[in-house]
Amino acid sequence: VVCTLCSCYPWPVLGVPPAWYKSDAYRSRAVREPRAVLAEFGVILPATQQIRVWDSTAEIRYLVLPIQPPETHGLGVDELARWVTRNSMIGTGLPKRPENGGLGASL
Amino acid sequence: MTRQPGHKAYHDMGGDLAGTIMPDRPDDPIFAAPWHKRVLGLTVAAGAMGAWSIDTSRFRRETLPQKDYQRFSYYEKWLAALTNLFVINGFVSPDEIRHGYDGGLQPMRKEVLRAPDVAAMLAKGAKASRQATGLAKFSIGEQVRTKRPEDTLHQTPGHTRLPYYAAEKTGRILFHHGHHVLPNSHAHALGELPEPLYSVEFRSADLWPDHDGNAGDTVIVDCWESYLDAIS
Repeated sequence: VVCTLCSCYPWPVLGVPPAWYKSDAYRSRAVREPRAVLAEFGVILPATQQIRVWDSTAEIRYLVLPIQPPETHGLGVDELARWVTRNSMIGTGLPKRPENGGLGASL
Repeated sequence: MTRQPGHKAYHDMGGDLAGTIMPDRPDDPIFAAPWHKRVLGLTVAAGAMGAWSIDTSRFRRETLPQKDYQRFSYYEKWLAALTNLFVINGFVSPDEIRHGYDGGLQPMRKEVLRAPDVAAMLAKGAKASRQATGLAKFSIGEQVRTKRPEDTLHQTPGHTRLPYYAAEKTGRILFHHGHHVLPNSHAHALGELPEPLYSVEFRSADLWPDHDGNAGDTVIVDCWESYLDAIS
């Protein structure tokens, strides 16, 4: 998810957008070279993976429903929620194994 | 900003070549400097006065002089556009801004956002959907062609939410979201003129000549009905 024209972001759910989301680099590149952008977030996707980029041009806000990691099958809602990161809902990250049984990785 | 035919506005940067992205780290502060927080607070509080719409604020940010738009940091752009809105609406004079004095008290406005109400107001958001005033012209799955951004303007210079990279391109209607306020008129206080809003899906290969990803890669852009032409 990106906003190429300004910085539209689902504030009520995800809070104040991170600086990179509002940066010229992200706004410019996300629609054109999403694979290269994702790689800068450490997400390397195979060429067989289809990518859909959502440009938030209207007053509708989009969140990504992260792909469920196979090792989380059978977990309950609370446990699953700890795998979900902010970036996995923006679309620049994948769900992450929570560290130390804490609240999970926030980014 | 002047929009010549075929001219890409400088805020409309989708597809531009640009540098590396710097992801944040878990310990980064939400606001890099204390004044950022104040500018955000000012902007939210000023917006709640109801003297202008979110579309007008966006128009004021994207029509900052090009060199300011390109060198200002994010919150500097917000503050500059807000300052212009204050001056345009007569809340402060250019002289007060320039010389930093208080030109006298303004009458208190009726609409005041008080601190205890901020969280609820932000959570609620401002609804842009409206009662349908007619039937949607396009149906899900239909192929459509986008216009040029400059052909969607209601005044010149004017505001549009049709990005240049998606102009004069063929896409497919993915969703119909019902009627929404039209930013192209609303930004200039020319009325809400609600019309059907669609998510239009474009093949990345149709947008970018150098696309080298998966053939199924797409970009989805929300488009108001008046941005679109039927394919005959």
